Amino acid sequence: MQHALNEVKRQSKYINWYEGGTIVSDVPVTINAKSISLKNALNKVFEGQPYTYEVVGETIVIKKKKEDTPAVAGSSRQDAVTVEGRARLGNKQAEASHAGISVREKGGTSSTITDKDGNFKIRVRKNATLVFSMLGYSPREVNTGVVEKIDIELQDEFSQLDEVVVTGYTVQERREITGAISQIKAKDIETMPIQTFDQAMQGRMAGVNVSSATGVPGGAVKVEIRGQGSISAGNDPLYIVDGIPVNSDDAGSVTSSNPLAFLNPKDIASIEVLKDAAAASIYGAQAANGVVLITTKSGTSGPTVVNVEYNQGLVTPMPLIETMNAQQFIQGRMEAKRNYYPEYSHEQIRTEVLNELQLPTGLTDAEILALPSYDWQSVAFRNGLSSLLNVSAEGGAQRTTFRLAGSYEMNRGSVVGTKFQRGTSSFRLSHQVNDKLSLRANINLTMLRQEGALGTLGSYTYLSSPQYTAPLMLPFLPVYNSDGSYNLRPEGFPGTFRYHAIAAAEMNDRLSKTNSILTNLRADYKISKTLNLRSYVGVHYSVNVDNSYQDPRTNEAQGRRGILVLNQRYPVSFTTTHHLTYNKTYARHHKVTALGGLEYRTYANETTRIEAEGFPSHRFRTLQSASVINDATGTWTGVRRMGLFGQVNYNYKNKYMLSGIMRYDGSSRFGENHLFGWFPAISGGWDAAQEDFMKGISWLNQLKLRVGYGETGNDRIGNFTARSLYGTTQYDGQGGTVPTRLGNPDLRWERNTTTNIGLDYSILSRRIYGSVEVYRRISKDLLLTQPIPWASGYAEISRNVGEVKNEGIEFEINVNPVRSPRFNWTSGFNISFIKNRVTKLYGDLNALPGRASVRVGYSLHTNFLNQYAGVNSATGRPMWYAADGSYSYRPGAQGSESYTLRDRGNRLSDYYGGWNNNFKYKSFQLDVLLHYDMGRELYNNMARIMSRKGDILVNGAAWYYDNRWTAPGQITSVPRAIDGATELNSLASDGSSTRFLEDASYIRLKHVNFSYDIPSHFSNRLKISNARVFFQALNLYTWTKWTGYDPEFYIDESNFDSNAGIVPQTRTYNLGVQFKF
Amino acid sequence: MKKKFYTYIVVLLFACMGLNACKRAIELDPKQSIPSDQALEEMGDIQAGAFGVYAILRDVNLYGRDLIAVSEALADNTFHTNLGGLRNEWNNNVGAHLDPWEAGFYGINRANLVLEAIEKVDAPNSWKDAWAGQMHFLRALLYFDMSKVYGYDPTAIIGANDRGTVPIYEKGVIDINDLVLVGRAPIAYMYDFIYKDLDSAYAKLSRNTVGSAPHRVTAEAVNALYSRVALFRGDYETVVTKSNAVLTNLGSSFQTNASYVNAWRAETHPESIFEVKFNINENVGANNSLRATYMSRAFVTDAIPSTHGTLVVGDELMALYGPSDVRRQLIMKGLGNNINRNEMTKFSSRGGVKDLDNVPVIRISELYLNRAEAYFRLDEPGLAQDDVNIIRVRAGLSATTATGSALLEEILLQRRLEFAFEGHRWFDLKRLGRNVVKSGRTLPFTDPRILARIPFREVNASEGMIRQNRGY
Repeated sequence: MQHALNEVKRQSKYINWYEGGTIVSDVPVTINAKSISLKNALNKVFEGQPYTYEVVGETIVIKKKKEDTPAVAGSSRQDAVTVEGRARLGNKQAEASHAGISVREKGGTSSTITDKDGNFKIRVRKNATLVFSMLGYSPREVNTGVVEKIDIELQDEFSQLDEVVVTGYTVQERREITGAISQIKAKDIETMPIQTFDQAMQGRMAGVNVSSATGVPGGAVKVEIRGQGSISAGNDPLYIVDGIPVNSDDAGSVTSSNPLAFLNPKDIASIEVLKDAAAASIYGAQAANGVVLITTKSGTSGPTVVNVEYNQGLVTPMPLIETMNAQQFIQGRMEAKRNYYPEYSHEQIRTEVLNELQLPTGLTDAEILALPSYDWQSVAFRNGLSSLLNVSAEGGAQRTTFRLAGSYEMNRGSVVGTKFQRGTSSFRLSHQVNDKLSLRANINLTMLRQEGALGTLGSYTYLSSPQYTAPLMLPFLPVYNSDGSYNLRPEGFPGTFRYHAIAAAEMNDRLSKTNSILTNLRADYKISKTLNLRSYVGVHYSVNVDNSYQDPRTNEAQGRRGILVLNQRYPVSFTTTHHLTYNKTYARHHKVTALGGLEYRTYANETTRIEAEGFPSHRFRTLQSASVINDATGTWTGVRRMGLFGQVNYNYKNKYMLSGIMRYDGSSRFGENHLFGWFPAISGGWDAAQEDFMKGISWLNQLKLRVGYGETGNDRIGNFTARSLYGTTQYDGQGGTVPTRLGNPDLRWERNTTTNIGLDYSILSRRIYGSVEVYRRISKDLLLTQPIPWASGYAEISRNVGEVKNEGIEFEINVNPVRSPRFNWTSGFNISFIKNRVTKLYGDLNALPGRASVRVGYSLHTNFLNQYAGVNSATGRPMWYAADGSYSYRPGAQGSESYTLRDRGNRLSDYYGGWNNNFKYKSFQLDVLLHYDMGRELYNNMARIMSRKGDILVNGAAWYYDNRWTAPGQITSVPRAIDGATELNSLASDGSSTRFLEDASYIRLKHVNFSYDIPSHFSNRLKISNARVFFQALNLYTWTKWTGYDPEFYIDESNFDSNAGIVPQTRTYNLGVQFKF
Repeated sequence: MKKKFYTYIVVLLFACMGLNACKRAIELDPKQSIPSDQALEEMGDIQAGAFGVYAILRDVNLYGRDLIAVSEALADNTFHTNLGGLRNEWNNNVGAHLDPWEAGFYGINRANLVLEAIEKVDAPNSWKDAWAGQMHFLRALLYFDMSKVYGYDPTAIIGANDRGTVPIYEKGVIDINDLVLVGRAPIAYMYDFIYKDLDSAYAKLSRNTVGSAPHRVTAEAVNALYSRVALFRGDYETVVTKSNAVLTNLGSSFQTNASYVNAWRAETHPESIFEVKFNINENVGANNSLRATYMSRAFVTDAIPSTHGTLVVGDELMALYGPSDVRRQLIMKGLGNNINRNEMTKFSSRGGVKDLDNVPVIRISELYLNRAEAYFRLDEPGLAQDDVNIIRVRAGLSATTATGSALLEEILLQRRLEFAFEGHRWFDLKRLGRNVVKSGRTLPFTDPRILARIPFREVNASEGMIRQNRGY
């Protein structure tokens, strides 16, 4: 029989394996199966054997028959037949009850349930597919035409030991894996009301830290796998969708956008994250920050299933910040003036202040008291709406399967002017040409339209960005006129923020449109029984148009009669991969899989940008109406990569496992002396539970130790950074050239070496399982731009010199405290601790010039700031600590001789993770996810900006006003008001110092999903096989000490260097329905 | 066995060819840049490289804004409205100062590379003269501007604080191995070097010039700058000689009382001997433009405010303009927040597009005032009076008959009034060793804040060659 199975394996593309242990059978198998279908061949193989089988995806699951099954009535010539059989719940004692398993004809109306022994009888159409389902267990489908005797076992949903995991170029059984891999499945994420899949990974995977950069719908998300290893080349992982690497750095430029938004999260079947080098080094020079493998859903053969989901939601802003009212502001302003110009008389100050505020200087004190205050915040932060329609159909016959899916999503964000719209369509087709050749095609089309307001791209403090200016508008300025229209003043408002940003956000266009195609073709060819060739060709192509039109009616554009900026990008990437896989089991137990192949990838990005102004009126908004073209420019950049890779896995009885990987990778980015490099990895595993001496311990299912070591590269060093270059400029209409860069022919990838020790455990029939990982990731040869004297004519040269160490422990536990047919509770908890250290910079350097936060011996992003010493209670002036520890009004600047270092905390998380719960009671289901991210000390720049209490002409937080110093002897942390926010000859009171450092740790009730499956007897009457109503909520509650709107945002030196003006997260509530036909 | 051997050979061969092919497969050249060592090979390349030197003058740290507006913020002509930046500069806070180091040296390296390439290129000598002359001038201008910011001027030095000017580089860098570290040049050495460059520039440009004033360098521009450099050096005979040379050739561009205001409305100022040209796509924008720094209007005729209006005319300066002074007409009340403030309208989007202004580096009026001061120092009060009266009378004031220190003060007052908001005042006070007196506070000349801080990174990267100025 073993031989027969091997033969089946040889002739088909299926990977077969056995459920626990080896197959021992005395019944000889003799079949002649040269040109029959797989199922027929398998039926013949299993005829009379004490085993049964099932085809799951591309895998044949072989199980021992528990007992002989009674014969089922044979096939009938009639359309309707009676089918009998047994269905039992797995992992149950023989005497336990197997009653209540639902047996239903797929696409039909018949249904029944099993008795306590699991027996059932049902009358169905010929060749019908039966669906067996039971709460807490994975449903199974069996075709009555294929399996003559039905005797199946339902596996509870925790049977992940046998799951197949995508490991890069191939798949592996979870129990065989020796690297550090995390996985989430469609069911974990499809109930989340999110726009991009990266958000779904938050809190669900140990070692994967996800933070949304902003709360703009569909906005940028930062994914960090096992910490930050790179100082300047970027820490984003490599994303691979169905074998094709995608362009993850082509984001829009008018509002925060996410380059991964082209993928509808509902089309995703699974996400695997390769965390350590033992898993990721097969991707060589691009894998240093980890690899995220996305597998999209594919069709399964059987009757066509149509799935429709619709939901409608409400998007609400986070709590707002209380600001000063008109009287408080005017009082603060007068104090500020009086403190700066003590020689002025009260009248002089009063007049000066009213003048500044463009209020009548004759206002009496009573009239000032009567001035109304207006709440700009609650207009800028509004309630938004979201809706989503998702339709898919899948099915197919044995040789050909398909899946068609389409979706439309609209999300109006909580900040005025922000909106996200996406339409996707995806098509997947698989076809088995013959026994040797099979083909697969996958096409994803996406149209994306994102709208934002000025400043929603990141934390840019634009004067007319609604979310930034709203709390800062002078409080006596009305938002609306008495007739309800916006209070637009062509001459501008008094004060620093002179524009009606909310009106501008509605009048201006800030549109980012992306149309993209991700397509790949795959061919598999079976060369011999052990050798298989797989080829991919994939293209990811997008057209991205950013359209920014500033309406001539707005203050900012009125002087130029409208401004249009068009920015177009055409990134194209092409990938082709060809690899051979070899599978053979020697001497029964020695399973060897080998893989070898070649990958070639090109990427090019062309852009054009046009800026024009002078429009006849606001109704003309396209380029042809502009009277002046200010600027037109274009760019081109590109990269080519090539890699040869190989992998060998050895597995002995699932007890001992060994894996080796080698990749030879090259990139046009590297300097000419280092075009190619080697990236090796080795790892091993030992499952102690499989040892004979442990077999007696029945509650122990798995105790697998994994050890891995390997090297990966980070090639994000800039496309032409290694070259000495001359670029262009112009003067007086003449083209000019200028040296732009000093090259470095030795430039190469950043080198990551990772050591990982992991332990996978599973006990009590997988009621408790999980893993523990300990790792050390050393990132060497980091790309650093070493400043060279400007006097040389250049700013810097790029070198591979730095070193950063990340060490961490990850802990994952999943439990199933209650497991009964009526009520099931599963719970998963993960926590990741991480410690980051800069261990080396170039030369004898201790700190990176110009970036005090990068310093040897400290974590990356350590806060080095002037140490705030509070307020001198005698004078009300702010003080800082000077180098010698004394109080000073004017401590030395960083870099000066009189400056001493003081670090306080760092911006990186100390630990983070999530706690996920799933409750099922009859037809009700409740999912609750808590996410936490602890130990980030962040500079609250928005608090700094809102800390003025009349110091300058902007409104601020009422807390600072209430706590300001007003009288000698008063002890407070808030200095007295002072004109210009700076006392004479001293540091600005709102200057950057530890005064505004805050703990941004938070615990968040991230996601709640409550659903109810409408009983099938009810839905079946409507010809619907499955109907479900659900309620979903996102970001329901946050526990934090952070004083800003929301503590979740990502700060990065290049994109988001401050949280000021960042769009906070939102709360989302959704109601929806889902039908299956 | 034999078969295995052949397979082995074939695989090896394939691999070798493959690896070579690999290298070729991933070769890729940039399209928007070219390799540095091939950038300056032909006559066309040299011209392009020369325009690359001009282009640096537009930098915000140079004539784009700072040399003009930050100088004014540091000095005593302006009042800060709290709208926009430069508050620290206006407060003379430590470290808030001009910072032309980076852009200045970029320009110098570009000029050095072009000068070296001119030597090698196959071209007529007259052509070489015309381009090399411009490069010598631009290099001298950049060194002079940096020297004034980071070091003392020969006429007023506080010995204890004097640590020289800036390093002098005469060789271009296109490879990391070209870089040598040099210390700060002593003041006298720096002025010798600038003289030498100006001499070369004049010699070459007087033989042959391409391009016309004021947006390209001409022999007159060389003489005009020479006159200014000489004034800063206290070399008064040279001031007179060079001023004479310019005034002989270009005296006719001196504007009259009637045309004075309109001259500040023209895209190119008619008095400019050398002016930095800004084309529409080189607009420095509302955040950095001189227009936005000085004015709330985008254009003089606007009835509604645009952005900023950060530095306005200080009350003290305003009071110095007599009621009949034509220059007072350049000052108008602002709009919006600045409705009660006096704004200088010399930079008022004269290029026809918001925030677009050409920036005069030297205009003819300066030569009269340079010469007046030089005559005064050379004990020629009559000639000095004549020169300062040319400015006074043109402004609509009566001729002065002052003598002695009153005459010097009058010359300096006219200098202040004539070049208000053009970036002269700070450097004039500094070269005269005078205190900067501002409303309620004074920055004494002895304060280290008179000299700018050398960027920390330069000091750090210089391996001890560059000494920071005192007080930083």
